[in-house]
Amino acid sequence: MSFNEPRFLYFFVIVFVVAFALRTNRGRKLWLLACSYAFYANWDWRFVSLLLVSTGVDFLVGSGLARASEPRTRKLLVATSLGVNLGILGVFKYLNFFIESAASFSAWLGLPLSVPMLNLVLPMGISFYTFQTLSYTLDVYRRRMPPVHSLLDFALFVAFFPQLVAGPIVRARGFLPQLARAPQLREIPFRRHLILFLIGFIKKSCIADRIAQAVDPVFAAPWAFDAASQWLASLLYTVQIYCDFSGYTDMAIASAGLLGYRLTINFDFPYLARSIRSFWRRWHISLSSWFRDYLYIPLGGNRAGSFRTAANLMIVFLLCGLWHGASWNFVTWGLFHGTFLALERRIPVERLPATIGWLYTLLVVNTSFVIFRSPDLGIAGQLLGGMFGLVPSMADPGLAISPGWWVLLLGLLGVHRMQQHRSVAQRVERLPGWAFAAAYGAAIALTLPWVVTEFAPFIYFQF
Amino acid sequence: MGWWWNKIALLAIALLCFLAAAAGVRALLPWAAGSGLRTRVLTYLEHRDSFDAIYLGSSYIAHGIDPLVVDPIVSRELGRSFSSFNLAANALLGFETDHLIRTLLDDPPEKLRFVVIEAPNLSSELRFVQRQISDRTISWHTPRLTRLVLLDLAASRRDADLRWTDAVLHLRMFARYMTNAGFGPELVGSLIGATSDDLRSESAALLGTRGYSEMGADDAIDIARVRRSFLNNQKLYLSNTQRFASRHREPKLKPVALTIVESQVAFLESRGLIPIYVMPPVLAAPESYEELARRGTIPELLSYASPSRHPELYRIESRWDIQHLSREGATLWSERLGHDLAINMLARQSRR
Repeated sequence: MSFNEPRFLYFFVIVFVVAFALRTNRGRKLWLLACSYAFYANWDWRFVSLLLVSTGVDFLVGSGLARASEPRTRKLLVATSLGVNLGILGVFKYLNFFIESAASFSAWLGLPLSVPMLNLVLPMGISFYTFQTLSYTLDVYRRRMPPVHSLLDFALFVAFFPQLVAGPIVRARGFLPQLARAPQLREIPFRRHLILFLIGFIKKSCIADRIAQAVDPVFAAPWAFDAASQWLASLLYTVQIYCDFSGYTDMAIASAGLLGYRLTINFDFPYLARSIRSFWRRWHISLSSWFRDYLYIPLGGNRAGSFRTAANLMIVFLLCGLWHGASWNFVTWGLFHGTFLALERRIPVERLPATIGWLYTLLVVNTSFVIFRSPDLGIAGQLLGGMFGLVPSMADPGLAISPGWWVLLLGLLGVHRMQQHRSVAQRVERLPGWAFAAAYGAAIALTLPWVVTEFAPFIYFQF
Repeated sequence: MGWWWNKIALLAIALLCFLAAAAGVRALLPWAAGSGLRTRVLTYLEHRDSFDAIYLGSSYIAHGIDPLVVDPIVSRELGRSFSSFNLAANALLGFETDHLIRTLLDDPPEKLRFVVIEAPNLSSELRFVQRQISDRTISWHTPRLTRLVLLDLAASRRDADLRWTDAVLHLRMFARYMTNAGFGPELVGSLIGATSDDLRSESAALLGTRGYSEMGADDAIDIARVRRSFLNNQKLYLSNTQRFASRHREPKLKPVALTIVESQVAFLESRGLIPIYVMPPVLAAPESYEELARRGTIPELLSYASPSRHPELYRIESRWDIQHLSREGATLWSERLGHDLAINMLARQSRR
């Protein structure tokens, strides 16, 4: 079940009504936990067991850390958490990739190996909830937060359905305190969350899914398109992935908000950034800050000289790429970003004129997304070669993307810029109740015709 | 409690505004496009003041009645000019026909007098063409017709699972109808008046044939396969024809079908139009319309679904496949129909 499916609406209405009909905080949390497991089981019930293992292990590790004072015991406990969580992630997400890569490397050396591949299905959202539970054990280990004493609270923190399958990656110290008391209906800013949900829905179902129809054929066979179409497709994909992922996040934050819980923001107008450094402070914030706090800083961050800083950035972004998926595209994508971040340490691009900095950032991000989206590095090379005039065109003129998409692209960029001021949403939020209801009803009616009716899952569900 | 009432009132306002805005959007949508229906409707609407009669129904009518054959016969026998247009389209079955009648003929042109309707198969059981959710299948899922189709489904004796599957499909199409989900690009096309050159040339060609199109004229591979299969199984066809001719058809007047036909007749008559139902020369009789005609529920019925009464229409040469007429068969049927229409009209004149 996905936020952009009609059945999510029925599911959410039932969750909401029953949750607020329950008087006790415990009853409500139990209900939300049951609904969260049902939500996850709807993808594949077998993987609920993995969720339970992660929850159980990290709860016990947290409790153990509370009692252990010996550094060695504490290290052993946190290593157990890391081992179990990363072990599960490694087996389900990376094992086949490493086996395949080893076999290819061996064949390249002239020693062909016949290695059996495992028939594994990637559990939905495993990268998200693994990082979420790890943040808890790491924070408890570093004594940045006390361990949680309620298994119910911890299980709900891990499995809370709005953020379970594609984030934002919530930190335990931000979420668990919210479970101490039951949210009251009167305290919930309904209008803000309803607007946010609709904006997220429009981004996903009206913009991202429609753009996909123009983009997909180009990424499938770039050689059949001219350079203008290739550029347009790459820029459209840059818009698509933002609308898809930030649309999901908006709906996740809004769904949690309607139930009375706050989730962390994940995007802050990333395409208005004027450097790659600034881009990563605005794009998938919950992941970039996770890597910053739990990997980059422990590695020494930028405190150990410029070479070490560059190396740390490369390590972090190599792993950030791998986090997205087990493929060389993601590894290359991560290293590409790491390289530009390291270069920006030497070249202060933020001092460039605003427009130049913005264009530079957009160009780097757009190029990186070509690598990210392409089915393999060969296709990425073809497409980038075509875009930059390095590969001769074999384009079929009949297949060129309609120039009308340029208009849409520029229009969306304008909306992105205007949205930053949030003035329209704030004005709508302040309308009298009846006017807000009328405007909201009409807005839904004007939105639905633009929905792409063939269901497309969110891009980040695969991670 | 006041808080709850306030929220319920706001929800009701939101719902009303949603329905009003969705109705506004729906009013701007163009005609559903599948199987050339949009071209047919637009062609008819552009020349609506020219016709005395229109034909509505499925491919049996679309490929079976040629107005260029019918019109001279009626004109000759009536002694005045007569012009008709074939508005039938592939898979235009009972519920969709009813929807078309109500939307196209709410304010009929002055000249139009006769609406010749294929005795409709008003079954809620979805055929393969209706199982594919398309602009056309969505377009007729109005609240009224969806309610009727669901009632019919509830009364059906089919397997509960099949009924449930069809009910869900009808409800999905109803939801698409009410929300206009996915129709944005169509809406833009309609607002900017994007009539493609193809549509214009198709419309001109359609006007030239007055809506008749010869079966098999399009070169779809499936159609060619159907034709080959018919030619290879002529014996089977003939034995089926004999079986159909000797079959005794019990009247089975399903309440929902009756409701629709009664209200359709009332709707047309209230607008000064004369509905004439026809049963095409096929090997299936969906409902017993003879019984409806005997009861007076439908004012006129011209039935050709009888190999014994119309053997010329069931000959191999007259058939394109088991159910459809060839060019030769269509000419024969159009001549027969023209003659019968003229008799009907003359009888009507003499009654007055």
